[in-house]
Parts: sequence; structure tokens; C-alpha cells
Amino acid sequence: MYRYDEFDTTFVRQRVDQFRDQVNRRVSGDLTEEQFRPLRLMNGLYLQLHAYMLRVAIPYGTLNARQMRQLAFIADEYDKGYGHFTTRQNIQFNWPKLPDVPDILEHLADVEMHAIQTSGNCIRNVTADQWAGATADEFEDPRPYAELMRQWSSLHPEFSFLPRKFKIAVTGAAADRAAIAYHDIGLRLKRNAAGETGFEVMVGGGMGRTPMLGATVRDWLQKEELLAYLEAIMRVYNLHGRRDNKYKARIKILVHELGAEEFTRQVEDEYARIDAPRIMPPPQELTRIKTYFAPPAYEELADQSPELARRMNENTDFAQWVDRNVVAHKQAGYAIVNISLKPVGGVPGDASAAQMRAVADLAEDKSLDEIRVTHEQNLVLPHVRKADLYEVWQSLKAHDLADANIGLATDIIACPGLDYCALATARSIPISQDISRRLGDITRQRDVGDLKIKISGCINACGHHHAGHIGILGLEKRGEEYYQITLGGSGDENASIGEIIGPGFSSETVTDAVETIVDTYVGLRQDGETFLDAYRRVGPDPFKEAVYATH
Amino acid sequence: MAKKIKGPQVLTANLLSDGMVVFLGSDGTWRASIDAADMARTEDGAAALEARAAVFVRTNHVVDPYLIAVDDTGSGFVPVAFRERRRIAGPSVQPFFNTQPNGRLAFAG
Amino acid sequence: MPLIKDGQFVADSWTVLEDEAEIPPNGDVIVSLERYISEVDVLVRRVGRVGVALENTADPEEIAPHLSDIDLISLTFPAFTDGRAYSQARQLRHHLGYGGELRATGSVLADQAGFLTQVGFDTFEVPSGQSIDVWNTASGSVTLAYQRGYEGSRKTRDKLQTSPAPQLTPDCAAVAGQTVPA
Repeated sequence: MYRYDEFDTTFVRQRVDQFRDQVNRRVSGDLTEEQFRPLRLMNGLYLQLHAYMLRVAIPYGTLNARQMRQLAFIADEYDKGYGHFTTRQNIQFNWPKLPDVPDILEHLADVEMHAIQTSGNCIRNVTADQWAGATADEFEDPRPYAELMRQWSSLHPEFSFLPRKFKIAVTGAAADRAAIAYHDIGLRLKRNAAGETGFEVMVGGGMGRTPMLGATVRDWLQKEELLAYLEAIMRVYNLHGRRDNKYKARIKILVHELGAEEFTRQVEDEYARIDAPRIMPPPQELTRIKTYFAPPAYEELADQSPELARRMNENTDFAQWVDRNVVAHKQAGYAIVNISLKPVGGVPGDASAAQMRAVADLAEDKSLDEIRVTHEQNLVLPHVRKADLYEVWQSLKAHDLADANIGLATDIIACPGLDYCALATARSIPISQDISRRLGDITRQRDVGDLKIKISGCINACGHHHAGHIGILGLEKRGEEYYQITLGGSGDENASIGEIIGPGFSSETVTDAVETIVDTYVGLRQDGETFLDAYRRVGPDPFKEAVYATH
Repeated sequence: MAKKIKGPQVLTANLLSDGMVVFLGSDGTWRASIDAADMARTEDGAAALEARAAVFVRTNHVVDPYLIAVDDTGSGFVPVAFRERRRIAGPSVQPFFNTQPNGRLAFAG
Repeated sequence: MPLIKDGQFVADSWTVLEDEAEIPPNGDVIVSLERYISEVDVLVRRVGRVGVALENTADPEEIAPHLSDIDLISLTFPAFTDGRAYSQARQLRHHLGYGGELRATGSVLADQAGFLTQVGFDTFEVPSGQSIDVWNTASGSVTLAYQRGYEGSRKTRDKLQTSPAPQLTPDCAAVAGQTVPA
């Protein structure tokens, strides 16, 4: 993975000092809260419902053991012993104090991390496929480009005061695990007939109150041109994106109002005027970055592990965990291990400091010192020898991290909701806990199969409900929380936006409604048909009938 | 000019230093417990609370002060708005993080 | 309004002329784009320099034919969070080759100074009471920039790097905690 050189280290240290100065000026009154707010947000510091919240960037979800241990240290020292992994592959601390934040940032800088642009109307942490560099279905590793964009977007002089926040995701695989169609800019590395790889550039996807899927503005972009082309997109947006209404300020509205064709024309006009060679990094810079993403020191192994086969035969729990949580690696004899942060009845994405340390130890011993964070709020050990899987599973079990539910009904995405978030209108975590307990029986979960339930506590859709096979949106009416259900959303390579099935449900009945929907699917599915396949075949009516007949 | 108010009001804010939810108390200090808040029943009274809070904004003690409507139960205050009840109750999912002494009283949920 | 250039307060020779105000026979004046275009003949024939104030919704292209006659362009920030003028500055400097004074007006905060310089601004109208020390500390706190092709004194990696890029073997890329030589 990427390592800081002197340049990166100096840059991040300077940013810490700059923020320390800003905090000092705020405390002394040289900066008003109104002036300080955008500045602190650009360093990931929110004032939430009960306290400050610091969001730390985990660039494209990649961590090493040392970094994870430092997060555990911060959780213990400055928080209440836990952290929350987010749908943008970041981590949030819920209880820091303002004067401590510069110190926390120092501790992060010590391990080559920061909180730069994890909030604010600027280019946010670039996200990527969590299995990048390890998965068998990849055309090209997207991480060098994600890193290039991380650097380019950091303290960008022209694009730090955009109309609204701006999110970029990149994938290099056939299967989209980064939900690129739901991003302001989605990048897909693909291969042409000549065998070269290049980018497909999508613009204008997003969730929020007006969910939209991105439109392709460039079917093929030479990889070298990436930053120059991004500059053209960003400039058109910075100049013409709406600033009169916060809810219409995302680039998706500009693309929608201009039409994708006209938007593309404006971008291409701007691009034609840009002195691209001045913007683009020299070839040796991309080579420098790519060097860090060279394959790690794999051992030469046979692909099959007799040890693994024997353990799976002996232990059903282990076999089920392998079946759901372990996926194919491109290197013979290795596997990708997904660690569920979704214990039945738990808080999705939360990890205690002890769990973080346990994962760090495992990464160091068994995964070539790499950890990934997924946008589904789970963790990944990307390079585990198949022969080590049993031992890894046992260690995970000892720390309540061995739930075999990846991709199943209890692998729920939930935003912090009104338990933490100042913007939320309803709670999401208790609903996810309730659904998780209801559907938690592992035999039943395995029978139901692939199912993505996603819960947001307000219209901003941080819980990705629009992309949920079953999406739940928490709202408030006359002092009561109620929950709207959408069906048929998906964030993968066949992305779709979920459709509202009808009137909302109270916090007491929403779990019943979800269970009815799941049971209805089980009743009507054909052989091997997943929930999403079945929904796409039969449409919403059978589900509506079942839900509103009984609730 | 005093703002229109609906029912009894107390004034809340967050401490600049740690973001903690606080209420302007009758003794002129900021209190963690809503029950220790100074309550206004008139528009002038509410405006006076705002004016007192503004001083603490200028001295960088608190941020984002605003009035909230409360029910006076006789033994304490319960916010009318659902969000404000949640705000003083602390995260319901991890009750031991509750920073408010009267969270359970304020939110029967 | 106090004016900052090169990290110090400087005297301002320019007068902002309202659209209704009479054009004085001499002295440096800043006029609106509309007035400049409608009264360009009068403006260029008088003694004294001419500057143009562009709204942050204006397309810099509109002033392109006149750039050689203009000594100052002022761009405005209605709020410091409204960043349109950054892109206007960039277009003026890069696409249109404008080389005269580029002035930032409106809500101009010390914490923006570095960015403003990078996109090509060279003078800054700041609120009265702005301390020059705070300005210089805030604007000088970051000396490096990842973005290539921008202005100002922040150094890009190409300029800072004297030694060649590190030669990593695959093995060493995977070793934990290892500091890579710059």
C-alpha cells in the first residue's frame, strides 16, 4: 500500500499545524463560529447531536496494522473505546473534545493518516473497490489512481469551496463493489479491444432526496488524462452548479438540468482549453505511486489447501463462515476474508478498540499487513493463506468478529441516525438491531440468501437506502418516528433506485413489514432466484399486497 | 422585536470546548440538566434568554444557541420536539454513553 | 478597505466607480463589466488606468477582447464559501492569458489566502481589523501543493523532490512500518 514520503509527511504535518492554529483562533475568538465551521468541517470535525464527531479518512478503505492500532489508541484515549466505520470507508469518533482534536490529528499523522476533507463542500475521501489488488475479477488495480486523486484533491486551491460536497469512486473490476453509479463522479477501469485499459467516466449519480444514477460523459478516457479531465468537470460544476438551494447544489442537479449531452459538451469545451500537460503528473509520478501497489510478497502455494478442506468437513460453523465471508483471491492458495461488523443485534460498523487491535494483529500475522474497510461497513483481510483460514476464524470468533453473514439479511448498512447525527430525523440503529434480531437465525438467513437491507435516518441517505434491495428511510411526523420502505434498489454494476412501496410504518411495525417482505420473497421465488432477481421479475405488487394486507 | 413563541421556552446551546448539550440556568450558568434551565413564558422573557446567551457566544463559551419549547411537568421540563428529546437523551443504542442526568425522564422511549 | 499585496498592507490607488457616477478625467477607476463595454471608448481615452469588476456569475470570456486595455480585474466572494471566483481567476490567467492585477474582494478570509494566490490573485481587499500577522501565518502555514500547474509559491512534489523516486521491490512494499526513503 501507499507510504508517505517526505513530501506527504510535511504536507500532513503542516495541515495539522494549520488546524491547530485555527482551533486556537476559534478558542480565543479571532474566528467566529460561522467562520470556523467551514474550516473545521474541511478537517472532518462536526458538531453533532451530543458532542463533536471527528471523521478520519481511510483513503479508499486501505489500512495497515499500525494504523489500525493507532485508531484503537485514539478510541481509548480520546473517545469511549470504540469507533464507527462508515459507508465511505472512513472511521468516525463520536466523543472528541475540540482542544484535543489537533493532538488526535498529530497521532494520525504519526501513522500517515489525516482527516483532510472528510467533510465540507469539497472533494471527499476517494473510495474504491475494497478488494482492489486482490480480487480475481479485476482489469486493473484502481488504487494507484485513487491515490493519485487523493493527492490531487487534497487542499485543491480551486475546488475547496464547491456548491456542495463531492464524492468520487473508482473500480477496476467487472463487478461494481464501489457503487460508482451513485457517485458525483464514478470511474470504471475497463479494457478495450486492443487490450488497453482506460476509464469510463460517469457523472451525476447520487442519493439524497433526489436519487440519480450517473450518466456516462466519456466512454473512454486515457488513464494519463485523468486529472486534467477531472479538472474540466470540476470547473464546470464550480462555476455553474446551483448555490441558491442546498438541496439542488449537487452536480447531479446540474447534469439533470442541463441534460447529460449539454453538460458533456461544456466539459469537453473546457477540457479542450485546458493545458493538460501542465496538470497531468509526469509519467514517473504514476510509476512512483504504482510501485507501492506492487503485489505483496505472496508465497508460491498450491491453490487447494487440504487443511482447509479437512476443517470445513469437521466444522459446520467454520464451513458456513468460509462459504459466506471468504472469496476468491487472484493468487493461488490465498483468499480474501471479509470480517463482519454486523453481529446480530449489534450496531452496524461499530468496532471496539479491542476488536481493532485484534484485527490489526491478524493483519500483521496472516494478511501481509493489510486491512480494508468496505462501504458496507465491514472489514477485510485481503491476503490470507487458505491454510490459515481456520486459525483466523478462531481468532475472529474470540473477539465476536466471526459472524458468517456477509451479504445476508443481517449485514445491514445503517447510518448513525438520530442516536448521534444532528441532521437525522429518526433513529436507524435501533431499527437495524431489531431487524437483525428478527431475521438473525443463521439457517433462516442462509435460506433467504443474498439480501441488502439499508437504513437511513433522514433524507440525506447516508445509509444508502435508495440502493438497498430493501431500503428503509426514517422520518418524523408529529413527534413519532416512522419508516418508509423502498424495494428493488441496487448499488452494483446493474444499479437501480429503490421504489417506495406505500405509506410508512411505525418503529413498532417496520420490522414486521420487513419480515413479511422477506417471507413473501421466499414464497414466490423460483429456483436459485435471489431477492433482487425475484423483485425484478414480479415487481412490487405481491410485496405491497402482503405488507398492507397484514399491517 | 421579540419572536413569537409557543408555550414555555428554555434556551439550549452546545459548549464550544466539548460540544456538550447545555441549558442556560436561572443562576446565569450553563447547566447539563434541562431541569436546571431558566424558563420563559413570554416573548420578552424568551428574548431576554437569547440576549443573555448571545453574551456567552461572544465570549466563546457556547455555540449555536436556540430556544426550545418545553412542557413543564411540575417536576421538570420535557422538550416538545422529538429531536430535542433525543438530543438530551443521548444515544439510545448505548445507554451508558448518556451524558444527560435526566435522559430517561425526558425520553420515555 | 485595507488592501494586502505580497504579505503587507499597501496603498490603494483605485477608486470603485458606481454605474451612475461621473467618470473622472484622471485617476485609476474600477467599473462594472456592463459600463466598461458600453463606455469603453471614453474609458480608454482618459488619463489613468481602468479596472473591471466582474460578478461571480460572469463568464470571463465576455471581457476577453479588452484584456490588453485592462490593468485590474476584481473578482468577488459574496461569502467566503462561494468559490466561483477561484475558477474565474483560473480561466482569466490560464485560458485568456490575463497578466494584470487580479484582486479578491468581498468575504476574503486569511485562511483562503493560500488558495487565492494559487489560482492567480495578487491583491486582497480584507475587512478592517485584519491583522497582517494572522494573515501571513494563515496564508503561509502550508508551503506544499499536490496540484501541478497552479501559481503561487507552494511547491509541488516535482519541485521539492531532489532525489529520484524510491525503488521499491515488491517485498519491501509489503513490510509493515517501514519508512520509504524519499
